[in-house]
Amino acid sequence: MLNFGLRKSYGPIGLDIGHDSIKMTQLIWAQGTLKLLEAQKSDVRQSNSVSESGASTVQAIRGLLENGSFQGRDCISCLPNSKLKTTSVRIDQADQAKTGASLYKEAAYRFGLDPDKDSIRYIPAGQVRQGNVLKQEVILFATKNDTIREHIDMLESAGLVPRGIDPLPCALFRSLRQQSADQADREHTVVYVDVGCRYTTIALGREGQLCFVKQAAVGTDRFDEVLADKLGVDKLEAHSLRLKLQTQRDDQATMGAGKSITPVRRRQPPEASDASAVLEHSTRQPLIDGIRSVAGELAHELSRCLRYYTVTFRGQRIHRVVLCGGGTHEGLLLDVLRSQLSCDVCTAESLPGFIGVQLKALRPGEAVHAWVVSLGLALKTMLSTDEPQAEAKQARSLVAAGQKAGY
Amino acid sequence: MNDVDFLPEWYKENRQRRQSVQRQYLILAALFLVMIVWNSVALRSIKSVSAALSLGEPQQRQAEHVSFEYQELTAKITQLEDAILSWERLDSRVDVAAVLAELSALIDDSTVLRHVELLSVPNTEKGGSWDREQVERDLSDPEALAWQLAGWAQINVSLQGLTEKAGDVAELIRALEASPYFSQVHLKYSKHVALDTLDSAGQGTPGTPASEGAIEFAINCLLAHIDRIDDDV
Repeated sequence: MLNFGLRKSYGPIGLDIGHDSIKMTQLIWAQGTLKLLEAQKSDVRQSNSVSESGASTVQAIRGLLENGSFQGRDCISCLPNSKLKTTSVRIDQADQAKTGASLYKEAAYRFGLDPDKDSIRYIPAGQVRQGNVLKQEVILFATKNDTIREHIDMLESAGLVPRGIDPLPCALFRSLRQQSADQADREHTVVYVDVGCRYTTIALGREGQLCFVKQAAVGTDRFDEVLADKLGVDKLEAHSLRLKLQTQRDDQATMGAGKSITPVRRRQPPEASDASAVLEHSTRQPLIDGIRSVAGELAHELSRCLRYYTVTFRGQRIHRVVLCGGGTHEGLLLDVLRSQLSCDVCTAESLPGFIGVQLKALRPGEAVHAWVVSLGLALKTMLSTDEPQAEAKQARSLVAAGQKAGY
Repeated sequence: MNDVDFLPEWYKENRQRRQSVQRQYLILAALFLVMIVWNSVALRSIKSVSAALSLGEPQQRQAEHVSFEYQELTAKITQLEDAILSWERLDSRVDVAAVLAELSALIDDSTVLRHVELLSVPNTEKGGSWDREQVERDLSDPEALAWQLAGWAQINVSLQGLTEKAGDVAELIRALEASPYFSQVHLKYSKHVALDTLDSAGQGTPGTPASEGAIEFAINCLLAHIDRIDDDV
């Protein structure tokens, strides 16, 4: 459609359904610039019951639609990590014609799915050398057809019109890659890590191409579980103690006491901001130990991914690890990753040119890197990925918008 | 960037089909709406016309009544006009009493009229003619006969009588000509006749023309038109 930079073109709503929150963003092309039109967030705690969680999700989405000024009801959502199965496989270069069929069989074999009924998608990750044979590395995404159907029903019940269902790693990669103004991030391999509530998504990409995807069953909930076991308290109390520790560390960082601690802006629940909430040393040290142990698990997973990538795609240097998601609040995690990984580790918010526009749903002090996946989903149809020049131009406009906003 | 999408084809096709159906429904709804509007407009127009007609119904009845009365009056007027015409046609405009009075004024004592006849004859000047068959036929229709006579007829006055002297006849002719009642006076005949002498018993004895004679005459003239007579008088 001809635009001439005059008409406003609304994008779809990017819907990120997490385990502890639902985030919705919408972008708009206005006068040749991509801008954030609306962002809304609802804190929900998904129950273990599928029907209950579906109903609460529908209710929450409806509430966000009512409260926000979203244009249209088209949306692009992502499947939850628990329902999405991913793996990397290699196929012979000579079997290119049989790629689809053989990959479907491979996925069916690995995940126990029906290739005729269930949804299986794949993207090429690049050529790899296995011994003396050159093979094609492919990333497989698969999920059950019933899962897709339930997801669509849930979206339609909430009054949304699905325009696309994206795998979370793709949204993560799209969002952070598009929003990075660092040329090195575009040319070299960057590891994008989204630390969610129950899962951590690891996506490695290079030159606009997703090379490797991994979902680790380690998230912020894991911190609370370990701390609850360690301290002999329930998960809610463990969560509260962890937030208090974060607050104290942030205060110390602000006063310049801990130079090694990187302060990360985060939401501060009322219980954490309580003035009387000063952790004793006997409580503080087990908390730190517990968090470090979980962060070590995650660092171990990341190390394995980096090793796999380095071995598989020989000669490719990893430029940096970019952290986003709710787990980014955990300063200790960042410290552990920095200490254990052999490359630069930063948060998405600290990326040069990141769209750090003030989102309406943010509370004072809340970070924007939790919105990365939602923004990546909202970007899906806003970017012409088939045209590298257009992509670069759009990315520049994004960067300009971020810089203009003071980030 | 290579992208994948889990949105199934069946959903996209269903969505397209739904959109198509929605479009069709919208078009049908729009058409239905237009039809409703048109129908309501037409009904409204019909109602207004019906109302106007119902309002005009008493006027129409009145107009019909007036028209009927007018026709009746026209017929009556025509009938009366016909009657007037008939009367005018029947009226010969001859005032017999005045004619007789004029004659008595013109005829002196020495003249005795034996026969006076007023006879209607066709006016030859106006191209009228007596068609015997027509007259006979029109006898059954006096009105037609009257029409035929009116204007197209003239009154022929025939006088027969006796006078003492031939000069009296001439005097009578002159007097008739001078009278505005009569025109085209001409003497039909004039001859000497012998008069019988009456005895005491009233029986006559034939006399000789030479001894006791008189002039018998017959004069024809036309009765002048009454209007002209009135004007002259």
